[in-house]
Amino acid sequence: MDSEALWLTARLALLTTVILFVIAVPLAAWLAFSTKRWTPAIEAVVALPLVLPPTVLGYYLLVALGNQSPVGRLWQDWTGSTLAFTFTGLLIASVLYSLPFAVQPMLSAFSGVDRSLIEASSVLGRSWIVTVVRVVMPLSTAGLATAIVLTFAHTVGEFGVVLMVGGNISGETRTLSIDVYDSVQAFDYSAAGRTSLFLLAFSFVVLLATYIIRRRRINWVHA
Amino acid sequence: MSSLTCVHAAIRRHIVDVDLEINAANALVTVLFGPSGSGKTTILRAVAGLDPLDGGRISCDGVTWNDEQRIVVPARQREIGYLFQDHALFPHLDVRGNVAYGLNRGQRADRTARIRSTLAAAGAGHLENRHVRELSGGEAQRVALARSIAPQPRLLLLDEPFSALDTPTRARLRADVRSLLINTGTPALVVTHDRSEALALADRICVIVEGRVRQVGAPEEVFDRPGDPQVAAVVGVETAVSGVVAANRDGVTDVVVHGVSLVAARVPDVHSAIGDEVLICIRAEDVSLSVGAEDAISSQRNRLPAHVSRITREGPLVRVDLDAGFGLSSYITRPALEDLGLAVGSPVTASFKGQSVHLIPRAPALQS
Repeated sequence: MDSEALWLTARLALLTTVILFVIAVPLAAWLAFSTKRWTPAIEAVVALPLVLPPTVLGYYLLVALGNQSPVGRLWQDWTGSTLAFTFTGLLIASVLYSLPFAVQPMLSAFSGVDRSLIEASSVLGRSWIVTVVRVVMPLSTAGLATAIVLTFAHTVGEFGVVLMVGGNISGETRTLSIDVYDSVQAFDYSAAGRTSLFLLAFSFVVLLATYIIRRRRINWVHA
Repeated sequence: MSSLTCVHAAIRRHIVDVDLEINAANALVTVLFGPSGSGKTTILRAVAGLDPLDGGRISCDGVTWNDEQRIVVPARQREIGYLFQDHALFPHLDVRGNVAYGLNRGQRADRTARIRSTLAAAGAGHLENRHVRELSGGEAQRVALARSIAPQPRLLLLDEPFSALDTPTRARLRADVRSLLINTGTPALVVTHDRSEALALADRICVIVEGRVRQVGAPEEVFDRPGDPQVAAVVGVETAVSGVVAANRDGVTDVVVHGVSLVAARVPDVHSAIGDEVLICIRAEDVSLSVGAEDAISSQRNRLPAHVSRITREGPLVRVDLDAGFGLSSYITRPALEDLGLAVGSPVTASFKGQSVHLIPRAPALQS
């Protein structure tokens, strides 16, 4: 197995998870408690990567990140390098692609928090942010854990978007899933088999952990 | 807080239309009293800033809280306490954590002392180190009460706070809440549909029927002198029959109900002319019963021969329904029932004072 690809995949998944956690908590909280009429539209946009072919998402990202777009050009002026076919570009793509996997579990957990607890917090003088941090999040630990695990695992498993946006540059954008594809292309079935088995085992363990978390009712009574 | 004004607050589909002014200097505890679905909780939630108005205005001490659909001051800036029906304690925090939740930075210095004294004042001092899960319903509500008063709110809102509790717990908590409010000088707005709760807590009662304020006054005034038939039905006057004014003389009004003549003390605000139809309200508590001939002159101006039509035991009291030419009810004690030897069909004399006969003009509103 390509250790460089393994390290790259781990780094990508970890960074994606951290960034997504920071983005998804306020987004999920807003979606859970907003009474705005256009909330469903935002919900639909967040869920888009679930149904969109990775190539479609990859295409739009490639266009948006490439040096023909304002974003890509701004980035190039800033850093001197392009976004497409770089690790940073890949990271941005991963964040967008895994967004629903972070938001959905949080959203359902936040929505399950007793409304009167949130109202109690606001009449006690606490702001929206404090309420989310001190009441909503502590009562949604299972949902938060599920979101973290799924985001990480989904990033490890992505392929289409990576291929479109990242290409196949060793040490920069070549992840484990690309490595399998590469090995098969090169008729190296034993290498493909080893990496595949690793990803299979990893995915199973992650999903197992998720279902154990879901099953265990959080018990708030201190021992 | 010295005054809260809720001027013409139209709220949601409930079509609550209220003109309400609360002045803590006159009455510390105001009770919004009315049947379920009358819009009481809707008003309370709007005052708390939890729901917007459809129209109207809410202001407190001259500061506008709600202006039409706009919430000008959000709930968190209103410095109010809110006691929820189901206590709404944070399940992930212990008792101390719950009470500390609403204390701000300035109050943190004497945090421990304040938590302790507030819990003690709410009768929950022994619960300080407990976890929320280990509390009974009554204990949880006491902790919730401590949590809501710890930040020294300018107004405490109570939403049917005892409805989820059993009767003895409720009675104890009720008395404690009233003394706590008085001791801390916290003005309160209480929502309830329970008559004894309203009587136990209120300095002032505001009867709400179908989203409208129908009568505001001291508890005795509202319960003994309901302003219109709907209020009479809500506050639970046991006898409410219609009759006709026969004469006005010497501070009393003679009314005739189904051929039976009654004497009612005249109320200054009510001007009934002879021949006017009125609703006659008589509280069962005010009707006393006797058997055998009594010729002595009594201050009880109404002495009616009647027959017992039904006897119902209601807790420590017995409700005796009578046929006195019209339906009349009386509450007596169990020993009284035995001494009188009453059974269905027994002849009995029902007597009550003229002041106990409350006349409500059939016209919907009182002329003032």
